Amino acid sequence: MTNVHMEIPKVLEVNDLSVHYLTPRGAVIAANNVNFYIRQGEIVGLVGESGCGKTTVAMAILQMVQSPGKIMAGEIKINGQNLLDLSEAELRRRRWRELALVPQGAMNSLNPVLKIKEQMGDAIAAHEPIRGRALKERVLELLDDVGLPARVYNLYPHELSGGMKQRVCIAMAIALNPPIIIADEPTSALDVVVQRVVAQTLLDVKRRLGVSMLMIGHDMGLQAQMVNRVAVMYAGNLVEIGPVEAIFEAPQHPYTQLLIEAIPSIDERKPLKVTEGLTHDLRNPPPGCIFQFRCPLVREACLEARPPLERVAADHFVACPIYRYRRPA
Amino acid sequence: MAEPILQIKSATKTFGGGFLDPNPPLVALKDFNLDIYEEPARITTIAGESGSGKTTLANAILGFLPLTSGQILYKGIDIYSMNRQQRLAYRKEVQAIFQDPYEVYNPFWRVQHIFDLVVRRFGLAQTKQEARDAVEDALNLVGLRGDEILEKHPHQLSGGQRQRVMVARAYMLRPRLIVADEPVSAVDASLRAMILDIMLRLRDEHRISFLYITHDLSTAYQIGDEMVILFQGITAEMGQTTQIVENPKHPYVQELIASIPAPNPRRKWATEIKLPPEDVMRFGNPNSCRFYPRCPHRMEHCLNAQPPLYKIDTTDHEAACFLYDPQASR
Repeated sequence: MTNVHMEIPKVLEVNDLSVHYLTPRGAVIAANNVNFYIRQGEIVGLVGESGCGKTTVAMAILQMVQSPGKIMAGEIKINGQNLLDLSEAELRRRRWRELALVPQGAMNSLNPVLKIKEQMGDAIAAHEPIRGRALKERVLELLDDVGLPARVYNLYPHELSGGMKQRVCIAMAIALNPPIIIADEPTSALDVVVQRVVAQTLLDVKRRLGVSMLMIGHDMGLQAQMVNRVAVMYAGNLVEIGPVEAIFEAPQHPYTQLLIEAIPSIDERKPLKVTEGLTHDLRNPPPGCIFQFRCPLVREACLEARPPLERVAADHFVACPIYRYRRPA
Repeated sequence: MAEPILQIKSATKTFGGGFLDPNPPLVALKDFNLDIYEEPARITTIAGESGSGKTTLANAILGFLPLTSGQILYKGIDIYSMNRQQRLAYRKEVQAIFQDPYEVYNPFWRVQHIFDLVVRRFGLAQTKQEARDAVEDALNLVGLRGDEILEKHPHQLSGGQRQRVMVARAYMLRPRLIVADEPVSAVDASLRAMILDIMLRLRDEHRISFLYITHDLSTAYQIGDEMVILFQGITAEMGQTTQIVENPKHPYVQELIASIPAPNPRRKWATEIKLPPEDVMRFGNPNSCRFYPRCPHRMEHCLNAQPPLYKIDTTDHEAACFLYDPQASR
C-alpha cells in the first residue's frame, strides 16, 4: 500500500522557500524554509491562522508576490522545472497553462464590464490559437463542466450570484487543462449550501481532469471534506503535513492538536478550548521552535534550535520531536 | 413567567418599492416575533444565510432602522417612541458587538478615549480613580490589562484585542442584553473560542442575555440556548438550539444542517446537491412558501400561502412548513 502510494509522481515541489516582506522596521518573515510537495491527482490543504503565511506561499508558487514581498530563497518545481529560473516572459506563458489560480472572493476578480464570454474567451485565446466558433464551443463546454447553464455565456458578472461567479472562476482555471490549480479560500464568503455546491464542483473537476490542487483555507470542516493531505502553517513555518485522517485523528504537532481541538462541531457540545493567538512579532521570531510561547509541552531544547521537518509516516512530516517521546523507539 | 425584557412583535421591514421605484419592494424581514426574557439570561441565536434578514433585525433592535410595520418593545415601551430619558436607559442597557472590530473605532483616538467617552456619557464614575478602576475591571474580565492597551491606537491592537475591547466597553455599562452581530466571523480559531467563552461567562456570571446573530451554526450549537433560523426574511424554524441542530424539521433547515462540512474526513457529505438556476430561486409569487423552488417536499398548496409556524409535538419547537400542519390529513 505504502509502496504503491510512493510511486505516484510529485507534480509540485516547494523546497526551502523563504519569503520576506521588507519593511522599514525590518523584514517580516512570512514564509520560512517551507518544504512540501503535491502528488499527481492529490488535493493538499494549507491551513493556519490569518497572517501565518498561507496566502504568501500560494503567491510565491505563482510568482506573484507583491512588493515589498520578496522570495529570498528556495525552489518551486513543477514536474521538475524550477519556476524561479524562468524569465518573466516564459513565466507568463506557463502561468495559467501549468498553474492556475482560483482566487479568493470571485466577486472582485472578474472584470465587471466584460461579459463572461469575453473574459473566458480572452483568457483562452491569449494562450491558445483558438478563435471563433471553436472558442465559443470551448467556453460553453467549460461552463457545462462546472454545472453552469449556457445562458451564463452572455451575462455580465453582476448578473450572477456569488456561487455562480466562483464557478466561473473555476471554469477559467481549468480552461487550459493545467496540472495544478491553486485555490485560495475558494468558498469563503459563500453561504453554507452554496459553499457545498462550489466544493462539489471543485471535487468533480478534480476527479474528471485528474488535476492536483493546493487548497488554502481555514475552515477545517471543509478541509476534512475535500483534501487528501493537510499542511499546517504557524507564523510562517510549516509545522506539520500529513494525510487528512492522520491530521484529524492523530495530530502530531502540538499546534495541530490545538487547531483540531478548537474546531466547533455540531456533533457534540463540548467545553470551549481557549488559547492565546499569535504571541510574537513576525519581524523578530524567537530562536528555537516557533511555537514555544504557546506550546503546552515546551522543553528546554525547544528554545535553542528550531526542530526540522521529520518524516513520521508515509507522506507525513512533523516539525516537532515530541512524536519520538510518545512512542517506543 | 415574568414579562419579557425585549418583545419583537410582527416586525416587518421592506426596502424600496416606493412611488417612483419600478422594482417591487424587497421584504427583508416579515412578521418576525421573538420574546427575550431577563431571567434566566439566555443566548438566543438568530441564524441565516446572507440576505436572510438577520442584520436588518439587529439594526432595527439597535434603533438604526425603523420598521415598516410591527413593534419592538423594551420593558413594554416601543423603542422608536421613547422619550429622552428612556432612550438613554435603553442605550445603556442594550449594547452591541459587531463583526469587524476595526471599523467601529475612530482611528485617531487612543483606546483610553473610547472608555472615557463611555464613562462620561453615562456618568459611570464620580472620581478619576473610580473611572480607572471600572475600566481596569472591565478589561480584566476579557483578559486584557490597561497598561497594555489603553495608550495604544486601534490599529496597534491585534484583531482579538480589538474585539475584546469592544466587549469590555459593552460590559462597563452592565447591559441587560448584548446584540452580537457575527462577533467571531472575522477571527481565528483560537480567538473565536476566547470570545465565545467570554460570552458564556457574561451570561452565567453577570446574567447578561445575548442575541447572537450568525451564519455559523456550529458555534451557535456550542454556546446557544434558543435559536431562530431565518430564510429570506421569514422565520423558518425556532426552538431550543439542540432540538433544531440535532433534529431539524423545516426542509430548508435540514438542507442547511446537512451542508455544514463535518470536520471528520471519514464522514463526507452524503449526497450531491444541485441548486436550481437563479431565475427559479427568485421565484415570482410573493404568496408562496419562499423555499418552494428548492423544496424536496413541496406540495401544491405551498404555492398559495406562506405557511405559519406550526408546533412540533408539544414542545416550543416550531417550523413554518405545511408538513407539520395538524389539520392536514397525511
